[in-house]
Amino acid sequence: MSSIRSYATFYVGDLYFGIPTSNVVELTKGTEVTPVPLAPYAVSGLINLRGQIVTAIDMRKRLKFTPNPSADSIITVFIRNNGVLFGLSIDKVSDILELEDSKLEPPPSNMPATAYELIIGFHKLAGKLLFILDADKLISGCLAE
Amino acid sequence: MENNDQILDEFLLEAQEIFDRLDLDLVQLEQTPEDKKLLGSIFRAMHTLKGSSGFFGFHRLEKVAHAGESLLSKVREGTLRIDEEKTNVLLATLDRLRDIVGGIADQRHELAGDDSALIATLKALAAGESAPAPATQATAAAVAAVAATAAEPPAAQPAAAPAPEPPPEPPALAVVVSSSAGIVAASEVQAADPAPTADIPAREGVKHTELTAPVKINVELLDKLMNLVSEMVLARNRLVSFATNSGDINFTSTVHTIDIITLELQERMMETRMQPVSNVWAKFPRLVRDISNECGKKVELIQIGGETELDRTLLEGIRDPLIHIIRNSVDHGIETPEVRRAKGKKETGSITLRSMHESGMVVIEIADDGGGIDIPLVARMAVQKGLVSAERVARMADREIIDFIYLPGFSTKAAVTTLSGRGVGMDVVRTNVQQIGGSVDIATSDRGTNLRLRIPLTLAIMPAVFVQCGGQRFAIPQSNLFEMIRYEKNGTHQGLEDFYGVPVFRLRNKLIPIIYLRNELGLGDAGEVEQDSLNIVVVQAAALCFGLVVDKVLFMQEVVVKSVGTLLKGTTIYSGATILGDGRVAMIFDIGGIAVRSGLISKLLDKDFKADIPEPPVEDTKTQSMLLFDLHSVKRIAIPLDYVDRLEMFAISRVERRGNHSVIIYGDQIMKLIWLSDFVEGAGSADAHPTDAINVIVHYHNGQPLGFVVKVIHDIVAISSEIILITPPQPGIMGSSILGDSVVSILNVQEILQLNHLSQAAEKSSTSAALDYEDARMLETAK
Repeated sequence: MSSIRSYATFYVGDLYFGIPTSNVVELTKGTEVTPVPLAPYAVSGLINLRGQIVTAIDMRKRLKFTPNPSADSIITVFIRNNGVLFGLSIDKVSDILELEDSKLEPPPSNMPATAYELIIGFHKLAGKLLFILDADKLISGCLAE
Repeated sequence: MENNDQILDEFLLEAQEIFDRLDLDLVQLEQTPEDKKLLGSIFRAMHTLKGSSGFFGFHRLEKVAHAGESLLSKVREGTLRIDEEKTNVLLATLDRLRDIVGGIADQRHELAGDDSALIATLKALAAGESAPAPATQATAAAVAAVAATAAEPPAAQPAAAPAPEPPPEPPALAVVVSSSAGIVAASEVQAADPAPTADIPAREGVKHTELTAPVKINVELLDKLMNLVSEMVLARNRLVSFATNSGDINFTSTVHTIDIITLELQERMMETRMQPVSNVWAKFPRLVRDISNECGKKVELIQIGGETELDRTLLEGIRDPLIHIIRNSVDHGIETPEVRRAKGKKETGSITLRSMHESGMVVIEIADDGGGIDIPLVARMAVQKGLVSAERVARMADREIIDFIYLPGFSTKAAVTTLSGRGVGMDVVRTNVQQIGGSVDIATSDRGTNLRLRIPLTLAIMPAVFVQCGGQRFAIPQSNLFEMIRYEKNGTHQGLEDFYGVPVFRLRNKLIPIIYLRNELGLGDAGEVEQDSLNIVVVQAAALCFGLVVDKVLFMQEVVVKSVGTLLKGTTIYSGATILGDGRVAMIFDIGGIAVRSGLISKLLDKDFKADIPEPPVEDTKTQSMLLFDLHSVKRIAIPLDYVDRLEMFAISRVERRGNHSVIIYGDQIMKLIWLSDFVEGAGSADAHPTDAINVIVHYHNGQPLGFVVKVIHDIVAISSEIILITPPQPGIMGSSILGDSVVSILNVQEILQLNHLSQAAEKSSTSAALDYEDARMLETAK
C-alpha cells in the first residue's frame, strides 16, 4: 500500500530537485524581481504576481552556489507554503514525475550541507538522484544567515 | 438548528450592545438623575433583555434582568431616587448579566449559578431599604470585571467570564454600516431595538439624524471588498499611465471616467472602514468611575467630538493606549479631593477627551486638570537610573526631561508609586501609537496634563513620496515627511559639518543629521557619485528629525500598503511594499527603522545633541545663504534665508484689501502682504504688471506671517557676507555683493519692516536707509 505523488522537477546548478505538484502554483520565465536592499542573502526581492506581492528566493544563493550569470533567463517556480506564496528562482525546468512514496530514501549524508538541510529525502532515478525539497526548511532557513 | 444558532448569535450581539450602552447610561444617570428620557431608555433596554432571555428560556438571565427592571421601574415611577448605592448595585447587576451571557456565548446554553444574593439586594433596594453587605462585594467584583474587559484583546469574546474553550463562531464579528453619514455607534443598538430610544441625551450633544435602517455586514466581506478596491486602484494607475501616452481621445476620456469612479469607490469604501471614536470611548465613563472610586477621587469625564471617525484597525490600535492614559490621569494626575481643595481647585477633577480632524490626521486629546507631571522628580529619576548626568539634566529644557518617561524601563515600580505625573508605561503607549503611524505629545503644568495623540486616518492607502536611490524606487510615507531640500554644496561642502562622526547640515539654524541612503542600503558609496548638490528629504520619526540623501525625488502618489511577508519582517527599515502603476514593486520605508539601523538614534542619545551645537564661528562664515528673486524692473535681489520661512504662490483673486494694505488668508491666520516693488527704488509698480498669481516669500515676524510679494523666485545661493555698500543709499537695498560673475542686490529687510511699522528695533538709527549689514545680523540674532 503505497501512495503515488507527483513532483514538479527542476535543476539548480547540477542538482536535480523535486517539489510536490500540489504545492506548485505556476511557473514563469523572466519575471521581474524588485531587489530589496538589506534583505536576507537568499531573498532576491519581491515579485508582483497579479497584484500579490510574493517573496522571491534565489535557489542558487540559497544553496550557496555562484549566482546565475544570465539573470534574464531566470525561471520562477511559484509555490504555496502554509497559504503563503513564494517564488523560487531556478535554472531549468524538467518533467513532472509520479513517484511512489515508499521509494523515498533519507538524505545521503555525503551531500553538501547547504543542500542537505533543505531536503526531505531523494528518489533514485535512472542515472540520477531527485532531491525532494522541504519547503518549510527551505523558507525558514533563509532567515538563518 | 443552524437557523437557531443564528438567532442566538444575533441575541448575543444585541445583548452585548445593550450592556455597552447601559454601562454608559447608568454612569450618566447617576450624574443626571432627573433625566427621564435616559431613565426610560435604560428601563427599556433592561426590559428588552428580559424579554429576549424569556424567549430563549435563559431563566437565570431572565430573573436577574427582572429584578433589575423592578428596581428601575420604582425609580421611573418616582418612588425611589437613583444614588451612588443604587448605581453600584445596578452596575453589578449588569456585570452579572454580562457574565451569564458570556457563559451562553461559550457553551451555547446557560450555565448554572447562584444569583439569589444579588436578586435579594435588588429587591431590598426596590422595597426602599438599604442594600445588605454583599452588594459592595459585587461592586468590587465589578471593578475587576471592567478592568478585565478593558484589557481584553479586540477579537476576544465579549464576556468577562473565563472561556474554557473557544466558541464555535464568534458572534461579535460584525460592524454596522449605515447609509446615513452622521451615524453614532450608540444609536445602532437602538435602531436594532424595537424601543425608540435614539434620543438619549449624550453629554456631547450629538445630533441624531434620521437614520435609514442600518444593516449588519460581516467584517471579512468588508475586508475582501477593500482588497478588491485596492487592486482596482492599482489597475487604474496602470490604465492612467497608458492613457497619458495614448493619442486616442475616446480612450483617454473613458479612462478619465474610470479614474473618477475609482476614486469615488475608494473613498466610499474607506468610509465603511471608518468608525466613530466614541466606539472606543464608550467604555471609559465606567472605567473612570470605577478607578476613581477605587482611589477615592472624584473625577468627571467629558467627551467632545466622539463622532470623529477613524479606521477600524487604527481604532483598535489606540484602545489600549487610551485606557492606559486615562488610568494614569485618574490614578496619578488628578489629586485627591482634599489636595484639590487645598490648591483652590474644584473638588471634582475632570478629564476631557477631545477628538478632531487636523490636517489629514485625527487628533485625540486627553486633558486632565490634575497636578501635572512632577518634572524635578522625573529629572531625579533619570539621574538615579544613570540615563543622564546631573549637570546635563540641569541644563535640559522641561520638554526634554519629559521625554525620559518614554524610555522603556523608565516606568518601574518605584515610579508607579512615587511619580505624581504619568510615568507608567508611556513607552508602551508611544510604541503602540507609533505602530499605527501616529505620534504622542505631552504638555504639562501644575494645572494639568494634556496628551495629544495624532493618528493617521487610515493605513491601507496613504500618500507617499517616491525617491530614487541606486537605480531603485522607494516610497517614504508622507506622514514622516517634513520637507524636501536641494542642497547646494558649492564645492566647499559649506554647511555640511561633522558632529561627533555624524554628518549634519544647517537648516534654518537647526542642525539636521544626515543619512546617505545609498550607504545605508548598501547600494554603493554616496561619495562615488560626486554631485554639486544633494537631494535631501527631511523626515521625522519619533522625536528625531533627520535628512535622507537620495539620488532623486520622483513623484507623489497614493499607495496601497501591502505586507512584505515573513522573510522580510526582520528587515526593519521597511514598513511594507506597494505595486506601482507600471506593475513594479516598490518598498515603503519605515523611517523610524532607518534611524535605528543607521545608529543615528544611539549616537545622538549619547551626545547632548541640541545643547552642544557649537555656535557658528562668525569669522568663518564667509558666505551666507540667501534666496534669489526678481522684481519687475530690478532683477537679482537676494534676501537672507533667515527671513524666509516658506515660499508660496497664490491666485491674485485670494488677495483681499483691508484698509490700506492687502492681506490673504494663510492657514488659519491672516497674512499681511508687502509688495516689495513698492519699497525697492526703481522696481516699478506691481500694478503695471497684472498677473493671475503672485509669488510670496513668507516670513514669520513675531509669530505673525508676513508675505513679501515678488515677481519670480529663483534659487538659494551662497553670497559673500562682504557687502559692498552703495552710495548714495538706495531705498530697500542694503548693498550689493558678487555672485559668480554678476552682481546681486541685498534686500534691506529691516528697513522694509520698519517702514511697515513692524520692527522692534525702532530705537536704533531707524531712518538710516543703508542699515549696516552687521547690525542687521545682530538684530537678527538678538531676536
